Amino acid sequence: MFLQQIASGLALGCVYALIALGFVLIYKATEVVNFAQGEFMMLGAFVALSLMTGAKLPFFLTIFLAVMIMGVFGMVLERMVMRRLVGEPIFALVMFTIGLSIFLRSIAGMVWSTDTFKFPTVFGKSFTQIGSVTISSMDILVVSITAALVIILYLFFKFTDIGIAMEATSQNQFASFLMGISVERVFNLIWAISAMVAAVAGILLAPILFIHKDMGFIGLKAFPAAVLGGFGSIPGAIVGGLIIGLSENLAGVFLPAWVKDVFAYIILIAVLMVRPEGIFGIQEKKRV
Amino acid sequence: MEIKRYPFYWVMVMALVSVFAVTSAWAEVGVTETEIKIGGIVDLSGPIAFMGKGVSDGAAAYFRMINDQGGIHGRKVVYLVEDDSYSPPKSVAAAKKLIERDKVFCIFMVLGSAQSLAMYPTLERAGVPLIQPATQNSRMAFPPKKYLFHADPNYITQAKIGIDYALKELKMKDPKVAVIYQDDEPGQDYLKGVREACNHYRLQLVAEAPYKRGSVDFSSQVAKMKNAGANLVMMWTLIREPAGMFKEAVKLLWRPVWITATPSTANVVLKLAGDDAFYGKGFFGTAILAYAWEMNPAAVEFMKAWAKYNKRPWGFYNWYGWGSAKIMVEGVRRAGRDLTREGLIKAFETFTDYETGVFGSITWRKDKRYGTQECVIQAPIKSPAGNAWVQIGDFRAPSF
Repeated sequence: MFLQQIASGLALGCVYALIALGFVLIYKATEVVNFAQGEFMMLGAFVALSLMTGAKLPFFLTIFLAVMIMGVFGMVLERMVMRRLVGEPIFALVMFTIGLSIFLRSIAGMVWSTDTFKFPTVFGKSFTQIGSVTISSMDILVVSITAALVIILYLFFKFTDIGIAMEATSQNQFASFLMGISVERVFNLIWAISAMVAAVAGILLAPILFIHKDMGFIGLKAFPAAVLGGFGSIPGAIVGGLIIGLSENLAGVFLPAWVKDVFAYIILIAVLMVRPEGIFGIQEKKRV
Repeated sequence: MEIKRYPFYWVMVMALVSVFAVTSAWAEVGVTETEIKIGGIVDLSGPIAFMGKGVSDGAAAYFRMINDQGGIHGRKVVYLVEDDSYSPPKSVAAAKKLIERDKVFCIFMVLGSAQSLAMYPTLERAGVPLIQPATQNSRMAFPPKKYLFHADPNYITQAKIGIDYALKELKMKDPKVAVIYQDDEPGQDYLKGVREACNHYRLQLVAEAPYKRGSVDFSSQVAKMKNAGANLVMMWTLIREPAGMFKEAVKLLWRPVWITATPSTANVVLKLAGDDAFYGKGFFGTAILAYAWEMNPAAVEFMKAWAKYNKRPWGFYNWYGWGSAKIMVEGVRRAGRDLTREGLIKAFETFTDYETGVFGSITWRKDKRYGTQECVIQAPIKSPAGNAWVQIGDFRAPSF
């Protein structure tokens, strides 16, 4: 029972982590909190659904195309809108992303209707028994892809030139500009990457969340995960997601029923009181 | 000065004459020689827009059919639908707009109980009746309100019917009941019904498992119910939740009997849940609507008209809207040619075992504003065209 809840909690935690990753990426490079991250995920899932059931493409091609389309979407969005807002107060950018989330939800409702859809997955529904714990193949897939994504992104930021340029931009935009980094290109790329991660999340989570115009609301749960981990840290997003998923599930079984849904926020408040910068966060020191 | 006053008096006279001309012709707002304006308020852009669109499309199809047949006592129905995105403050604003600007005769089918209750004081002050709000909340008809007529059996009733069915038809010996419900007003109603039924039959209620609206993970709730030894799960859920619960039950190799309230008796629920819906010892629903098939003349009429006015296939919510509109039209018909709001209320109070072919038989009185307590039991069947709910047995009321 206890172990089973831990297994379920880890899988749920990866769901949160995957979405939190998108928040973290954009914030890391641009210091903007993208509140439309959940809607990016929804859009990615709907695009994949259309390719799969409308255009009848094979599964892996569908995923590849959907991720690419979302990447282009992220780039276009940055180029057309976000770039015009560079230098405006962060508040304006955040408000824009909130507006964008409402806009995307409405558009999805018009284009794909307000119904709920099931994504036809090629992964069969099988279960693996490990001791007293049952794990579904879907959960294993979510966990492994999340882990793979984190490793890829981590290596990208650590070792590639453009990754290091992004890291630098996040630390000091002006200085990196003076060092010859094209800040605009960095921003453009980070929006693309973030939208692509969102598309992966959307497709991967479709069997769990189903595809509907409001599926992005799960972002509200992923947001505390990102804050908990320290909002600019990639491993932090994962750890934050796992902590919230685990604690929610354990609280749901061992504590009174109402605790389950507020437990994530209780933990968030507790951690932020002890470590305001989050678990993996680095206290930023800005000299004025 | 003389010159200036002259046009002003003229306008006053014209205004008075026109007011008398209108009022002497038709005494009631929203009713003319050829038209009746009926206002509806549903969610067309918010979280349950699929329901709002479904029920209002269904009602519109019925009104259109009536209009094509010549209307009601020679008057055509004009159905004005406002969107409130499922937000009570917006519903109140929409009601005010319909009453004051569009000057509707009555309000028909508001989607949601909070929305209906929020606007009720406004309607009562204006003397505007609210007919058949699309909700199964017990507060609609308890206590009875003069201007509100509610047809649907509420969730307390549905829970009782569900447990009745488990004991009397499924003949479950010593059921251990668990209840999983969305932690809001309708869910609480359902919980109340389950508790009352357990008290009545002296059954053990072994687990109560609430979840928050929009939850996607039910592993802890399902584990809790299983560990408590439950073999009958009463559930108040919407569209996506049953799939999540069944998936967990399959994972834990747990096979209880599942009985759900009416919101989950839509075919899309089965589509999302897939084969998991058939894993337990049975999945049943207390549906407030009769099964729409060829043996039901009302359903045949509906399907014919739907195909005529819409290209899309029809769904559960269209059928609901259709039935509600049928009730609305019957009331207006009974109120006669000299249509007034008070007359409409008197007409609805004459409903005695009125059969729509959609809902259970409806009776309204001066002090009884719930139309029916009857539900049908439905169960899913597997079919190559997509799994679907079918009706098993007739309409039944709770036995206590």
